[in-house]
Amino acid sequence: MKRNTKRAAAFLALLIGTLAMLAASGIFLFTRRNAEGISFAQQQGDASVLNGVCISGILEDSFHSVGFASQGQSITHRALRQTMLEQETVYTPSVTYYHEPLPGVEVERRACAAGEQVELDGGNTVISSTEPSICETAQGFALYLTDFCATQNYAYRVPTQVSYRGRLSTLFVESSNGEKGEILASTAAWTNNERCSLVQVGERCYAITVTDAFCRGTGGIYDVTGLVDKYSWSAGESRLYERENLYPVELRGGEVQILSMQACGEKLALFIQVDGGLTLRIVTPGSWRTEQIIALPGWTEGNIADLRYGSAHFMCKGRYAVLSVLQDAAPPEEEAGLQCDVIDLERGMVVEQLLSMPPSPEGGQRPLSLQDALYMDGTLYLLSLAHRDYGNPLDELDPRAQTAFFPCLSVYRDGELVFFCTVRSGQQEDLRAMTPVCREYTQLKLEERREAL
Amino acid sequence: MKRTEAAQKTLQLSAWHFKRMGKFLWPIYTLLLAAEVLFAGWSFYRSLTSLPNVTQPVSFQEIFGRPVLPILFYAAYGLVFAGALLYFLRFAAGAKSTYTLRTLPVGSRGMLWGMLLPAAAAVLLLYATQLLAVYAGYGVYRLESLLCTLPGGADGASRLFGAPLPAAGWVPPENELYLTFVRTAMLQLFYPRHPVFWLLAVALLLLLPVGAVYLAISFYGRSWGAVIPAAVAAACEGFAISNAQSSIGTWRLEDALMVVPAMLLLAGGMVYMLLAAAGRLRRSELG
Repeated sequence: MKRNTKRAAAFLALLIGTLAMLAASGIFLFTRRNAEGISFAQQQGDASVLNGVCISGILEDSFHSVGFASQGQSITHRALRQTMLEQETVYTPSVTYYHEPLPGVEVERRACAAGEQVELDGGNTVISSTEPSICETAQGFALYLTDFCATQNYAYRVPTQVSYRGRLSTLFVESSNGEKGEILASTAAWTNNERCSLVQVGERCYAITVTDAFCRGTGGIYDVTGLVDKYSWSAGESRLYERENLYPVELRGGEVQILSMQACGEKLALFIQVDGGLTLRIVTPGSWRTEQIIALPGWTEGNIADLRYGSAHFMCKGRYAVLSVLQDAAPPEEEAGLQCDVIDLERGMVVEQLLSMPPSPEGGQRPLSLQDALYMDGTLYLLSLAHRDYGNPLDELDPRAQTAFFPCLSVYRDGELVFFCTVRSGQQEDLRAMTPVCREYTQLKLEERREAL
Repeated sequence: MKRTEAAQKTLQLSAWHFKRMGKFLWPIYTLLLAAEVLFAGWSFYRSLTSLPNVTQPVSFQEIFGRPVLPILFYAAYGLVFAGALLYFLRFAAGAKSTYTLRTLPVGSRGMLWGMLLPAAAAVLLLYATQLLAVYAGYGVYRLESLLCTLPGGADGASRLFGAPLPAAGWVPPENELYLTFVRTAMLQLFYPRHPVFWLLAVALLLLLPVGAVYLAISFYGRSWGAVIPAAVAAACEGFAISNAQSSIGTWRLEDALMVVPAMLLLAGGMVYMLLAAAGRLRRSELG
């Protein structure tokens, strides 16, 4: 009997010991959940500039994410909850144009057989469709704001007061009853992903008509709240919505061109090209009053085009705003840089213009992908991403290379680089040690550091 | 008082069973541990020497991402199940056990628990072995990664492996053990960060004792159809695990919903097996 009791005690002890080991492993791993060692590295220059700002972001992959925020010269980080419950990808609506020949305009219509080579744009674009198609060419179109330049599957259309006076050819699929079907190709720029700007201020969504030299009439801002998030593609529903032009801009026969619209706090920033020069207008939504008209000197045609195509960054924080565009293309790649204009929104003028040419950090290429910018006390902070050097020659095929970017901070005072550093973490080992995935830095932010925190 | 006495007797019976099951359990655990640790060590060595002149040390996460390791674990699980089933069949057939049973007079309920408990303990120990294998494998990997960067061999090769030295400054990834647990599909059961994986780990723990005891008692009564509920429950667990694991990293509500019917069926199946085993035991002369 005694032997039985002893054996039972040993069994119980083994059971408890095993459970304790499982628990200990869990606890140990839990304490390691944010041991990423995120810190500032490769510091050059005066590190005291870090005291005034707070850099924050998230280092994540789909398995795990660690948030971090700098406090002075150190970085604190913590694992974020919800690492497995990935959030639904946010649907970012797009606004573009749909074009329809103006009434009374002569339309050249040509039926094309299947497989026939169709020349568009004076022969610059050659399309051959496997289906019978219809090619329409005209000069003079009415433009509608829409979610997707299509004849059938669109969610809404808002008529605008802008007409397009250029010559456009559009190739449609011929549907079975001989009508125009979906658009196959077009010489209109907006069918190739050129988008109108959409800005959300509070609960309202505003879209602006982006125009070029061929546009006539009156451009402006339309309230598209409730339209951009419509998915209802059910047939038979009326999808033409009349909306008021809230902020008319006379195009003066194409001399005035609306390039883009960006959010500026609670206000809207409109980039408008007038007679070749670039101006910025700050508009208050609601009252639709023009607060400021600021001339931005020194912008070349190429940079203005970047604004139109949405590859320029406009970051507005408090009194100052930073407008930045990537200067590249010159064959010596060393001369690429970020053209930055610092705009004082109170005084309505450009206070600083500089070409930022950040050095290339160790183990990476030059950080030219701007994420955030901040101007305060005469100091310009630029937070940009650098692509990590990747020893593997197959890097272009490796999906991990797509996310192998790491943040760099460059700080300028009086046009001189006074400080440069990178943010270091375990990310570089994701590439170097052949791990299955490479984590990505997201939601990088640069803010003024509030004291007493 | 009577109740604690019954519990003690059940525990004693469990301990007695477990000791006798140890004959096949300990070799299984040892083999699993040895196989996984050796595989981790060998994989690292292999990554250093497989290509001439190129050294691309493999990371621990990559080693554990390979399918060999889940195969080893589930094979060990299957062996424990087979062993427990055969053991309980022999016990239920009652060759050697009569004497011990008389010294431990427990009711049919005690008899059932006396079989379930040691089988559950066997799975728990299997879990612990698997965890130990990950930690020990990581230790071997770290040791190897330290040693492989030591120069001293001919022509600047690594002293230990005779392989070329890895690129300067090569170090294993930071926080790698944690990331391995987080990124590896199989290890989700051992560090569950989602309620579904908690449920799956517990279900896997319960499935073996319930299934083995139910099948042993049913087979003793010559009802071979008992295979069907057991197989359905096992299939549900397998389906739920593979579905949940394939969606790690992109865990969305729809994926969880896919698993829910399988989990419900599994829970129902286990309750049914438990009740059926208890009923049979009560009716039979064993009780």
